[in-house]
Amino acid sequence: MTGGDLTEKRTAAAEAIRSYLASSVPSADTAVRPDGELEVRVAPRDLLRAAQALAEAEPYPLRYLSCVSGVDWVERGRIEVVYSLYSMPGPEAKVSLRVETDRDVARASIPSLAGIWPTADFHEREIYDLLGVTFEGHPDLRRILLDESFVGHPLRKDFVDQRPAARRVTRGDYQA
Amino acid sequence: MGVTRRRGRADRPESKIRLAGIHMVEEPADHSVPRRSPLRKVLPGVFVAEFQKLMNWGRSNSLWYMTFGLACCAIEMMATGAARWDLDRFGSFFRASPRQSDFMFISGTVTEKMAPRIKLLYDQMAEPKWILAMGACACTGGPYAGAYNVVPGIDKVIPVDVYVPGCPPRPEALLDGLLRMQELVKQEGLRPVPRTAAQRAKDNASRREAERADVETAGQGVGRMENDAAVRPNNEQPGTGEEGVST
Ligand code: SF4
Repeated sequence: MTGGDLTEKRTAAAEAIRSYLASSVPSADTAVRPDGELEVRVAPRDLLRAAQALAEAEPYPLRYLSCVSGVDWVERGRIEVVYSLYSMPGPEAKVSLRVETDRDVARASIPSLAGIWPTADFHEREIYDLLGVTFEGHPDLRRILLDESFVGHPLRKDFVDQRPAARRVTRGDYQA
Repeated sequence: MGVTRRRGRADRPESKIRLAGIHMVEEPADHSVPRRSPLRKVLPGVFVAEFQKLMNWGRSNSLWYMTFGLACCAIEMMATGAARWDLDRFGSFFRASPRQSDFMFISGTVTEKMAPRIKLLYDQMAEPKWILAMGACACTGGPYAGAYNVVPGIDKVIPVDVYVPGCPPRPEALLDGLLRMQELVKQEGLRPVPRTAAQRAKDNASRREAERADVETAGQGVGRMENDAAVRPNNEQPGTGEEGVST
């Protein structure tokens, strides 16, 4: 399949998924990008319904969750979580499901999608670990990479290393 | 300190064997064996050696190291252990238990999560034990120094005897580090030298200070190899008679 063919098929699939989604989650904000990817933005309270609809979308159910990413929009005071979805096999419809939440650690919370795509389990733990987003209803929300004793969420742009001074190295230490 | 071997065969009076500090000569050329000592009258084929030296010789040539790798440096360590560079020829083998290990290559990036586990393994190793910090990461944190979860040098956690810099060090450099470690082992006393972890950490710190001054004057990191793979200060001179047991 050449690139052009794929883009065409993806665009057609994206349109089909878009109209399917519009019937079940009308509040979702959708857009088809030039490369045929469908972008879906939803509010946290609609996330579970939208995810369920996408997982069952006719005729292209998006059963493959390839990645969950977290983005820290520090200027806007928001954290965005992006779910990258594909339908396989077939024209491989591609969807990025985006949801934004508050940046404040106490309030940064969205529903967990581990019940729909088991892959989300570890990915959400990683985002909890590094960005401090709480996933409501997650089966086992613990730090996954860092030690339990770690203080803070290091991929936040305003993270400050709170280890003892002997463990910290700054650029100045290398300058003679 | 000398070893006397009086050979029963008068036809080869010049026999002389030298082996890792154990000298086998015709006549005791050594003042450590008193003139009237019965040891002067050794039997043919009997070796007399300073026990400490014999033990250190044995120890230094059978340094078993722990099967333990942390990051990319571990791959180079495995290469050094495999057939091409062949650590086995120095009497060093991978052991799968800290209880059977004499030393440990800290081969790779040490994270804050791993550091307590390394400390635990170190504590489980039986004395005497040695640590070789392999690679920039284990020496100073290397390319990841300053990262939120990287310990800037394993010597912040356990005492290090030999530093081998490089990213990763070539197997030749690692072998050089091992040979330097053998030098250290040969300086070990019969009774364990009471060097607490704090003392050893202090030694390391002062050596680092000296190295830093060195690098500053040199203006660059050239010569670090010599400085880094440094032999730790020996606080006892072997063969002074206090330490060793002459037999
Ligand atoms: S020193 Fe280099 S090769 Fe070794 S663990 Fe660090 S990054 Fe990897």
